[in-house]
Amino acid sequence: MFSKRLLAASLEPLMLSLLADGPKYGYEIIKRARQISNDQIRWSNSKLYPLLHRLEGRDLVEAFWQPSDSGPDRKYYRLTPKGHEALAATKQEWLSMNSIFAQLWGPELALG
Amino acid sequence: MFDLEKALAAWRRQFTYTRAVSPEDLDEMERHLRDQIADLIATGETPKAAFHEAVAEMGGLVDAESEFGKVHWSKVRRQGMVLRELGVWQAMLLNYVKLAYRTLLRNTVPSVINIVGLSIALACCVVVYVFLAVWHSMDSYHENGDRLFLAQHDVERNYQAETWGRMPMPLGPAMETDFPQVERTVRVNWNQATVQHGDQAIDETITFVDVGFFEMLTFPLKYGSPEALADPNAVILSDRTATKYFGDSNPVGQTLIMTFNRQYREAVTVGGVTEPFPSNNGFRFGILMRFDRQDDLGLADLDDWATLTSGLFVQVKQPEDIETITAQMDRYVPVQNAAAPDWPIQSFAFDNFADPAFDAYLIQGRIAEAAHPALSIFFITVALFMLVLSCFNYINISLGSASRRLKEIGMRKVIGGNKRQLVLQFMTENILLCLLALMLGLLLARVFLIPLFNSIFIINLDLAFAENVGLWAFLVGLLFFVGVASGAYPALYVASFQPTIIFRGRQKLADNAWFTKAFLTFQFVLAFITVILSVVISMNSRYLIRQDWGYNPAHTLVVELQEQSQYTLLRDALAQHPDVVSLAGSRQHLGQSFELPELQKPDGETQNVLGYEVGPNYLQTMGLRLQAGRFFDASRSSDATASIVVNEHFVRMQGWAEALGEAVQLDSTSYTVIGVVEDFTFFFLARPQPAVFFASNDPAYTYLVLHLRDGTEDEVEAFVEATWTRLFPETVLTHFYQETVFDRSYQQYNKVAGAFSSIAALALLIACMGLFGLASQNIARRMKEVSIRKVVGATVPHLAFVVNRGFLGLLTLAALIATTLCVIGLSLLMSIVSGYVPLAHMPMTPLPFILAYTLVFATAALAVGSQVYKLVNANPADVLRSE
Repeated sequence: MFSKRLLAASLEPLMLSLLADGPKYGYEIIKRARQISNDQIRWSNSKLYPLLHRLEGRDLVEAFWQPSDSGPDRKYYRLTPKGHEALAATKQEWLSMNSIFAQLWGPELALG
Repeated sequence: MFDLEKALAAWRRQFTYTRAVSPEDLDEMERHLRDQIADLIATGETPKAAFHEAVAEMGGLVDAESEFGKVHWSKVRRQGMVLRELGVWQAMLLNYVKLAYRTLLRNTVPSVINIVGLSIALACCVVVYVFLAVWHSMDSYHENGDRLFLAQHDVERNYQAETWGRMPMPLGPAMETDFPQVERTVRVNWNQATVQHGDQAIDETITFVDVGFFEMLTFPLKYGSPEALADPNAVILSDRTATKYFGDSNPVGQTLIMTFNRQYREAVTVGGVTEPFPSNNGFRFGILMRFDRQDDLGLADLDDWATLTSGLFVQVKQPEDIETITAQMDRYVPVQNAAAPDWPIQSFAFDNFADPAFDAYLIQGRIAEAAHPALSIFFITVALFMLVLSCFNYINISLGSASRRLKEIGMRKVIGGNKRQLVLQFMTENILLCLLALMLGLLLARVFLIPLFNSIFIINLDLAFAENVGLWAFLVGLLFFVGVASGAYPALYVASFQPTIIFRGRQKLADNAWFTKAFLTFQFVLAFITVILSVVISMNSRYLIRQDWGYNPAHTLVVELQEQSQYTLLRDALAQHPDVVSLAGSRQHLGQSFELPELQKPDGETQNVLGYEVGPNYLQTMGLRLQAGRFFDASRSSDATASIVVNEHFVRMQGWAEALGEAVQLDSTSYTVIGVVEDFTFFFLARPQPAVFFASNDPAYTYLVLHLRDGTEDEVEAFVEATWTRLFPETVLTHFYQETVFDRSYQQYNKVAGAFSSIAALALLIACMGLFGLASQNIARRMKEVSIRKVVGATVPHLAFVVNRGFLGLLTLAALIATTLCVIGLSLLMSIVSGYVPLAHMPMTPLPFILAYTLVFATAALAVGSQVYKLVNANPADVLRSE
């Protein structure tokens, strides 16, 4: 498990990255996060939606409703151009942090 | 059978009243639940278990609310839901207002008392605000304000530095010539004159000003033109003075006759009338006349550096010029010092007229009123004090009446009202109540307090709402301050009750803290003191008028003479009348005027005593009572130059055993005492002072007194009037009966006494409101105890005593403290001050104290009475059933 502080710090970059390959709805985001982290990242709904709304407020993310064949409409979230920029910036940040760790711990640990 | 759709609908409903979650969010969350439930069912869960798991994972309502709350308002704004949000608030407030209205109707007595009590304090605050607003913007309205300066000078007198506003006569014109920066100067000088129009003659102060007056100061004219000031035979009147002489008609072109120094008569025409002064005008005048007229009227030498004029306005071209000028003012110091060595000016300075320095009130003889900070502090203290007092009483009364609403509070809590909502509800009620109080307070201020204030402090306050942003801001601020200060504690206290305790009937109101009681005692001490003092003052005024004046004022007619030549003519004519018992002239007159000769004491000190220059027979005509020696004798020539008659007080002061034949030095002349008269009242409210009568045979008297045969007053008065008209047809007769000489002061005194009585009534009212509040709380708390006492047979008087025993003790304590303070204070006053002491005349008797106690205790009993009445009428069965 990750420490609470690391989770908090990675919350926003993760969310932006999860939305990078296309629009997703809330439940889908949670499922994807659990799946990709082998159940290590389990966001509660009361964390997820406020975060999405905050990002929406900062114009990094936009929401839209889309019909679904299996029930009522779903609310999807996707990155805005500003969101893409933010993702690029945060990616740069994490990569340079990673390269520092790589120098300290040895190249085999680098992300490639 | 578990129905997923029903379960989801129920889940949704719990968010109905949580506005942090919008319907759109809810749609999204519901869709989320549905997805998750579908997944869980796919893994083999039952729909019921899947639903519960999904909902549990969704997080509790509390979590969601606080998390959603953070982003709620930004979303409200973004999604244009402000109107919806306001709608919710409006509905809630409307509901609270409705509740407040119903509560108000239900608790009429405490509500009315609360509103009235608070409104008194609020009215005081409003009046103080209006007063301070005017007081601290004195003269700020002049258009040239930033370039207008008042001259002042420093002088050392009796080893003390003093600052005066008077200025050497020629200084203004000299500055105009010497300084190019000076645009104009206007000198101001005051002189007394008797102004006559039609059949009235009134003593007035004439304000002489230089011709540039109206270009310099902003005093718009209602009638006529400012150029009239340049006309040597014209005057410009203030609105008030014009109304006094001419009513509402336009007086331009009318004639007034002015007599200066009882000898220079001058007919002038009215050239203009100013608009009424703004209330923040500190420079007042009644009649304006051209400055240089003083020269030919013989009133002042305009070229004399030793003569000081009342004031000097200087208008400069640029505001900063004044510093250059001030730096060069020293050039006039030697000129003035050489002319007036007994008044050596050290330096000149200037102070902005429209925005005076903080200490401008220290300038002696400043021609315009300046704000004295002590007055402001005094009024602010009084207003704050009243406010604290009534807020405190308010809190007590609210707590007392809250006991009746316990069930309501319990119900609201049980059906889901949280503490915040209850507090908000009570605060809304409270602010509503305060709003009513504020409106009543404004009414009170307008119809009662402001007129009272205006009549006591000759000022012209007005409650003007139009374009008065300051006043509005103050009112709103006051409303919220009072609303919160008076409502916060009761609201928080009441909202924290537990419903279970309320419904079990076990909720107890806290016992009064000691400071509540101390506060009530303090209020009653104040009430006692003010009531005692107002009783003393009004009893004193009756006592004063009945007191022996030391002479006989009955049947004595006094004529005020206007010209020096009038005495002899009038005396010769009036002495003919058979009903004139005796007649005399004098320069000063008992009860009306006196001079202050300097008495040289044996130890080298000097002291001013009262002096009267009287003609032959004056002392006898006035009925002064001889104690030893004799009155003046016109046939003895030495009487007029070297003899005096003194009063008993003078003899006592000198410590003479035998006064006759003693010699004294008065104004460097030696006199011998030939007679002693009894002490007499020389002025209203004044205690006897050492007094000296000089014989004066020069008939240039200013008073002529006639002692008439009893019952012939009307006849002789008509004769005097006729004689006057025959002898001096161009002037108006001014006369009065000696018995009425103090009437004006007496009326003035009664006005003050009346004002004091209203203060006492207010203090008593407020204290009784405090008592009422505590009594109602007390009864509410002890209803059960009282009911049991009733059941076991206690009588009503006994119950009333048992319940109010504590208050009786408080009141008695307050009475004791107040009595001690009053007795000490009054005796101190009597011993320290010997001159004008309105309180210290009547011998101290217990009567005023007894009257005051009766009044206060009766009012207090009335305040408690309503509660006792409730107690009498309560059915013990009803009260005890809830147990």
